[in-house]
Amino acid sequence: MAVRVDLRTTASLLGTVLKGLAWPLGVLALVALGYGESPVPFAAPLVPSVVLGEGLERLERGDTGPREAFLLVALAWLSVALVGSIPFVLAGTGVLAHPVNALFESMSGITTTGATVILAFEVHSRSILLWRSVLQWLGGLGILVLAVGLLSRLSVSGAQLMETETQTRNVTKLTPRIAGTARLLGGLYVGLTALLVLVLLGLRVVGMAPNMGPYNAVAHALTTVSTAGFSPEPASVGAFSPAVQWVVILFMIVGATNFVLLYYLAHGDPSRLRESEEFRFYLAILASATGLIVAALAFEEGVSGLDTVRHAVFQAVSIFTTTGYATVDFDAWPPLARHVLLIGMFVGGMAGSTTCSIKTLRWLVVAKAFRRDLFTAIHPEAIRPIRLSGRPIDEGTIRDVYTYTLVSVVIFAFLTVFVIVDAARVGLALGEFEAMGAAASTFLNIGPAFGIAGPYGSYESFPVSTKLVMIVLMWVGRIEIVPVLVLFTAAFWRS
Amino acid sequence: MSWSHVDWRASVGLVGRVLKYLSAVLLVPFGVALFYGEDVPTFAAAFAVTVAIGIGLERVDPDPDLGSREGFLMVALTWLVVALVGTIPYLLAGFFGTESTLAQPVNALFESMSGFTTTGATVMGEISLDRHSHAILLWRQLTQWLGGMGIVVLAVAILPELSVGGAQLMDAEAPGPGIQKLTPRIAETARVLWLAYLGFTLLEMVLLYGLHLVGLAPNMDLFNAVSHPLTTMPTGGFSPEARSIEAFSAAVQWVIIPFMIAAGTNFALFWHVLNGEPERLFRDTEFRSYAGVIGVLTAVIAGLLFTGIGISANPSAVPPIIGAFEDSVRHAAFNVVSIVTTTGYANMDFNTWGAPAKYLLLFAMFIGGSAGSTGGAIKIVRWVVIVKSLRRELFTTVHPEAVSPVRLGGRVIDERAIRGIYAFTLLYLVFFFVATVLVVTDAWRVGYQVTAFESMSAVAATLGNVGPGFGVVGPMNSYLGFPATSKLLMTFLMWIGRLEILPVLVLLTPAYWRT
Repeated sequence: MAVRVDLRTTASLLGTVLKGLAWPLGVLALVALGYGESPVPFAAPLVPSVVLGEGLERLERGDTGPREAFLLVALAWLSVALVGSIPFVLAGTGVLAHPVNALFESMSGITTTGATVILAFEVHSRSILLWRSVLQWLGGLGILVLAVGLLSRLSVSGAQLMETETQTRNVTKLTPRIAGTARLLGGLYVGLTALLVLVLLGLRVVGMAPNMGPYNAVAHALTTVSTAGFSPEPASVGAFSPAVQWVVILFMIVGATNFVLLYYLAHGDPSRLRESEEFRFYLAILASATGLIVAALAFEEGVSGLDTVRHAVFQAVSIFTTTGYATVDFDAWPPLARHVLLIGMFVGGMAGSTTCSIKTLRWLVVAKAFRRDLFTAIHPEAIRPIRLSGRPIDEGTIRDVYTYTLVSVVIFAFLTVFVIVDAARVGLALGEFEAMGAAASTFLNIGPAFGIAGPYGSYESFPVSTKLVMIVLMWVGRIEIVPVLVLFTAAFWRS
Repeated sequence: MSWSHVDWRASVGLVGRVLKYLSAVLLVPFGVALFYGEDVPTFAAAFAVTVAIGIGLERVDPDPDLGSREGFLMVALTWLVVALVGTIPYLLAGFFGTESTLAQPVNALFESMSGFTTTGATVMGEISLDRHSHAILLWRQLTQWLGGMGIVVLAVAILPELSVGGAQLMDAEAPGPGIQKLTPRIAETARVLWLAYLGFTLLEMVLLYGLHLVGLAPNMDLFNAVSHPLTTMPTGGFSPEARSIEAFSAAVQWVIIPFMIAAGTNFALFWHVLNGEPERLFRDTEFRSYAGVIGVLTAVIAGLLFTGIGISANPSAVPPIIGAFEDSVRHAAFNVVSIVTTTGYANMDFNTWGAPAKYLLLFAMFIGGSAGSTGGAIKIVRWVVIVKSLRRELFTTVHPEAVSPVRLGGRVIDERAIRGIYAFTLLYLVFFFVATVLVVTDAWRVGYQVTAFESMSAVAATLGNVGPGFGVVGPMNSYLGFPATSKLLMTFLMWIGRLEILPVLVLLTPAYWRT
């Protein structure tokens, strides 16, 4: 084991990540040229990121232990967010000209949050709006590699459970090496994105989606499969036909499903997906949330046919999968529906997917552990391991899951108070519910919230200090808290 | 024994016996009623009915034999039945014509449960001696005093038949994870706890009335001097004064603060102090954290009040605090201690405070007093263990090969206990969120205007047995406006909050009732 954290190795790996950014930046520069827009915002950061990346990459590379991995993960998201904000600043249009806004948008992108500071979409060029979507797609790809390749091997906050759930003692069994696993899941991710582009264009060809051009098809596919939620349309997915909305619902659900299970499904083995307890739990939660919302809407205004149901399903799926699209301003919904959505922000999709938040796997374990505690309270002599899809879970893992869930809720509570107090300081009128929504939506990487930060609003009017704190917490939330928290312990840096 | 059917008759029989003896307490307000010549028939009838119910329930099983499952049922039922029976004086007083809001059965149950669980949330429309008799107001205080140290603990102390299974019963009732046996015999431990409790209560009565006699507390007459200690020591918070402790002088407020702090301390520590080991109090990790939390919160809020940042309302509408040192410290200390210990008194309407100070108080509602105290909510010791366990997790994440147990005061904590603490804390928060949504939805259903923040504070204050919240449920207001369904929900929250959820929740599992 390394005696102390090996900074050179970390820096070298980070260099590879930075160098990799040259590809999306290059593509966007070409896209900008194609639309007759200035390629400078993308070409300018391309050069330093290649030079810096190349320089760092040359550093001596040793073994990558847990500490190097944590540091790499934390730094990678941070530095990509910084580089990603450069095009926004250089383009200099609208609110994105302000560096804090640019960084907010970029971090919101790379963490697949989907919280935006933009209210006036029309002032921004098409390439800049596409860059937002590309950042989210990259963030989704990064998290797949991270969740499957790294976190599940480092026994972090119960992420190792995924191995139990996917019924591979070790994910590397999928193929011999992590890199191979990551490549397979990455391939699946690319494939799903391409499939969605084709489906959306197909709908247009058959006349069911008149305004879904190639640009919109690509932009939305990039942010659907990554369960991220940026849209170049001010009305989000509400701008498109019901057929498009149903397709997007389906792909959000797929994006929030464990990719290892999807991989087996794609290779003709649906049994693993069927047998996954988490998958059933996830679908059951989605169904009951939708049911509650339909009931609340029906109580308030009566059901107006399939439209009410579609809106309920869309919003529930969008929030529970941490995507953050909207087809209707759900901020105007009755309290019950809005509270179901707020609670949904804490649920998230399946582990091993592109979703954020606490995730259904952890809630499933928490629920099972509660039931076990109730049982052992009556039968103290009984010994009952907790099982997931038939396999026993280690007691240390259960504790990790508890810790993670509790820490998330506590951080959320502190962020809420900070948002409120900071808003009061500058005289911004903000209700507690709106503050809670904004805090949960950024920290848990959902995107829109309620009130001024609603689906058709923006985070622009929050004070700069609040935006900076939200930027940090989007980062912390996306990489599952622990990789950042450990950096603040003395044990991490000591030999 | 533990794999057979639940012998619910035994539980019910024992509840009846407890109730029979408990009815003697009703003789106190009866005496007061005779003295003032008010509500005499109310308390005579209440006493008769309570004794009759007690004897009736006892008949169900005259010779109860409790197993572990019957114990859960007995503890949960005791609190439910006592709260139900506690409504009788309110209902009868209403029947005999006070036109109080407590004449409504749901309100009466809310007030009674709030009393016994030492919550201190009220639905009285008007708290004054003009509308209510001395006896009724004293009964409110007494319900809190009885609930404070625990009805089951009291039963274990005085009923010889509970000396065997008493430890398990006390464990189900006592606040915090696990009880400390102070003496070899559990009945004796129960007696020690109740005696310490009684001693503190009497001492506070003497001090308060003493202040009145030397002229430092003009309106702290004998009735008030007796009433307030009855709700200070159980961290209850009911007051016969509509303005709570604001009605009294600064000297009274300073006297009440240390008694609230004592009430939120683990009573086992006082036993050690009395046994000549006072250093154990200051060495205790939980007590130090508890004192630290109170100290830090008081300092921050005092600073906010002193500088005026903490006052949101029109400063001229609130007592002159800004720039007044003693006033700032006293108001900060009093309300912080009141909320952290889950008492629920107030010496000013903290609704007039600004957002930062109010949110600190809302957080404090989740901290709670010490284990083994009369305080409610999550309890300091659980938070201490959670923080230590989190630090351990971060350490083992970096050093996966390291084995580092979590220690508290030098003793290693069992991993199962740590998991139990996590489970309870999470369950508590889940109940909090779900109940908040239900309250908001219920208010929306009937069109009652209440904000998300007010609903949250109402749920936190009832589940944590604190009492007042913010806005419509602020310290000078009441829970009266909520729809009956919400009041019933909150009554339930107070009940499970006092018993720390698990003993009630197990009754709802099929495994409990199966053979």
